[in-house]
Amino acid sequence: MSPDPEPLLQRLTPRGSSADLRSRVLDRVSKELAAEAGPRWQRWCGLAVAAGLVLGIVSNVWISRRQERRLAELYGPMPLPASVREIAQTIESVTDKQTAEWLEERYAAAYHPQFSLPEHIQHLETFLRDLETVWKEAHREKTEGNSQTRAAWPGSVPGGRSDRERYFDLDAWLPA
Amino acid sequence: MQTLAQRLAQGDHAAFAELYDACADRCHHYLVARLGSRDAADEVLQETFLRLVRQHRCLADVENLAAYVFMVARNEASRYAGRRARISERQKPLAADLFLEAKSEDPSRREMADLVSAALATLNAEQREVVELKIYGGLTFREIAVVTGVPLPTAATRYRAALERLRGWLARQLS
Repeated sequence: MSPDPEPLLQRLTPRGSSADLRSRVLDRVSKELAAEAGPRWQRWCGLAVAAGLVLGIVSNVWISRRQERRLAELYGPMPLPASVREIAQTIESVTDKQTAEWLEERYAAAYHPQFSLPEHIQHLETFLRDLETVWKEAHREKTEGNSQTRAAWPGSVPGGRSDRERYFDLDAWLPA
Repeated sequence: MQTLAQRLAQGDHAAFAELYDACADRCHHYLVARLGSRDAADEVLQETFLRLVRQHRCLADVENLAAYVFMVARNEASRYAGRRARISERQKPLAADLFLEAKSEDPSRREMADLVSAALATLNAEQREVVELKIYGGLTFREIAVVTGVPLPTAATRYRAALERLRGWLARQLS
């Protein structure tokens, strides 16, 4: 026998796997492939449900906006909250009707926004700042007027406020 | 016409049967040599094909399917050996587990199978793996380098060193 190992090794035949193993492995393969087909079907179902949900939300928003527009066309703009009307009346009492209306319009624009939430918050902040500026301006004018009037009366306190003047702490309303 | 890799990627059962017929026997022999037992090789070969099924979508990109199957089998064998540490102690399979000739009625063929089995047992694990993959796995050095994760020259050097060792051992046995 030759001591050359390569031909010697090649003369032997590997035993290989059994026929029984072949059927066992291929059976497991087909089961695995079948099991994989299940989740794919379920995944499609899940996607369909998610798509339906998104479609439902979008159509709900669309219908609600359409309804709002229709109602606005039929009955006019949405009524303002009582608290806003109260503020507007107070503004009107210390300034004039035009300023109060302007404030109401600004509030209505901020209250019924057609834009995103961050924009809405920004507009609301702007509105409250405008309101504060107008209020302070009006308050300053009135105070100056009262001081001048009361100064003429004997015993009056300089800078004293009249009963009609109410104090609104707008700084507490505004975000930091 | 679609290639075997493309059919495998689509999850075609017949393609897996075709792949099994093309590689399983060679791969099984390699696993027996690596794990030392036919039962362990059976289990690992099954795990190998299940892993191929689980990642069948990636198979379309595989250039050399045979080398890929051996690589997956090698990884599965390492996992199996890790799970059952005692298997690694038994690295030397019997000739009857490896070669058809070991059960031959011809005494000279049986003797030859025993001799080769004993000769392979003298090699270290790395050299033996390269010899098994080259001679019985039918892989090229490039494919062996891919399967074992070593550079091509290293695989070739290991093979040459293994043959030198076998030659010396056989010369001593036959003298």
